[in-house]
Amino acid sequence: MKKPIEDILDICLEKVKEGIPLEEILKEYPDYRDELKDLLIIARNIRDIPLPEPPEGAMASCFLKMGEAVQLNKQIRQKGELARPLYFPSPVWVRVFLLAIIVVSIFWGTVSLSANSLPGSPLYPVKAITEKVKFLLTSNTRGKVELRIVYSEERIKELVRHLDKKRELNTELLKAMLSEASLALGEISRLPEQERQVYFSRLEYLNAYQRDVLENLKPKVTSPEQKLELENAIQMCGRRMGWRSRMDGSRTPPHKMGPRRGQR
Amino acid sequence: MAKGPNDSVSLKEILEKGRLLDEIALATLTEKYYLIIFRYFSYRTKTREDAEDLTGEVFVRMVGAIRNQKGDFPAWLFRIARNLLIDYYRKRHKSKETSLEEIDDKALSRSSKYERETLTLEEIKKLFNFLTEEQKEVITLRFLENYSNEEVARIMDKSTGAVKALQFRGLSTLRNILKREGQYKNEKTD
Repeated sequence: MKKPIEDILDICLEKVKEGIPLEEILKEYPDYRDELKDLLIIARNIRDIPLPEPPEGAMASCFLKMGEAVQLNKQIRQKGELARPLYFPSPVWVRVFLLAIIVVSIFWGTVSLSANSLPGSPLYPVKAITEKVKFLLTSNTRGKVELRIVYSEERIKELVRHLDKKRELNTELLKAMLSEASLALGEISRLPEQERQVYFSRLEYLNAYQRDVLENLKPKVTSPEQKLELENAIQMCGRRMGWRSRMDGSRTPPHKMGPRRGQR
Repeated sequence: MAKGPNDSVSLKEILEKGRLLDEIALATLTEKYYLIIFRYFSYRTKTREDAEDLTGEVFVRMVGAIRNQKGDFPAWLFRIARNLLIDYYRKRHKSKETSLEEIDDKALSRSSKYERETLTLEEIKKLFNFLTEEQKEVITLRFLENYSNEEVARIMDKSTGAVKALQFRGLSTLRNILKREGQYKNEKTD
């Protein structure tokens, strides 16, 4: 196979370097003779150019500049060493791993702390977002019902703690509690028959429990408007206790649950 | 073989010390590479002073960055030089590629000068204007610095095939320019 001209030129250049006469080299490549001759002459002429020399003292002045640079860099390195914590491991993957652990710990710490937060606290939005994310990530209906019931329970717990702490009824929490229970009912209706009965029962117990807790809160509420809101909520819980029979059309009478004291 | 150092065992040791800012090691590296870098700039800058300044800057930058130096040292040093040269061109508002009109003008002005066989540094600098940066680098390293193809390939981070191609294209461009000016008329008739 014929060699490409780039390779032939390179071979010829090496031969010229070895001192073989040009004509002798060119005899081996008659097809490229003219072209190669030009290129080899140019290469030879470039090789013959006297090499430029630096001005006298150029290297000395370079050493001076370098000396300054060395001192400066030594200082920078010393500062860097001092600034770097001694215990911090240097391999990059260890740093990345530790950083990931720190980020995850901060995240979970914040989420855990926010679990006990109340409205008005800086962590409460974290709790609200966590709940929303959990709900969005739950794909099955049963899981969604569970979450709605848990959130409704959580709201009443918050309501009680808020009242104890701030001496006022948080009507937003009250509404949220009722709304979560109502939404849970909507989700239950999409469940299969057998599971539906189980969750209706749980919801009835929840309503009874909430009514019971709200009844107990009555003496602590002083504002007339808030008292009215509380009364409405208690009545709503009472009405909701007959949900199963209405939704289901079953003959089972609604649970007659008296206030269960000591549930709080 | 190249004039440039390739005694990698001792170079490794010098580099280890250099990374710790050992002044003797840094001076040794500078002594070894100063000329090559100076010449690299000499063929590409307008004045000798520019080449001297840029060479000094390469070694100052070397001091600052040697701690993180990896891979082939000469290739790394040439990368610093290349980056400085780009800044130099940018500062001087000088385009690396010469327009066709410029080529014709320069060719006309040079035609009488090239009526001889040898070239001077100034002439080669002018001729380099017609080459791409990579062609210039190959021609410089191969014919002025006497590096082997393998060494040039390592410095330029290219294959030897690519270096050969650049060498061929670079020389061909120079031949075309010089031919146009009658430089090789006499030689052809020899």
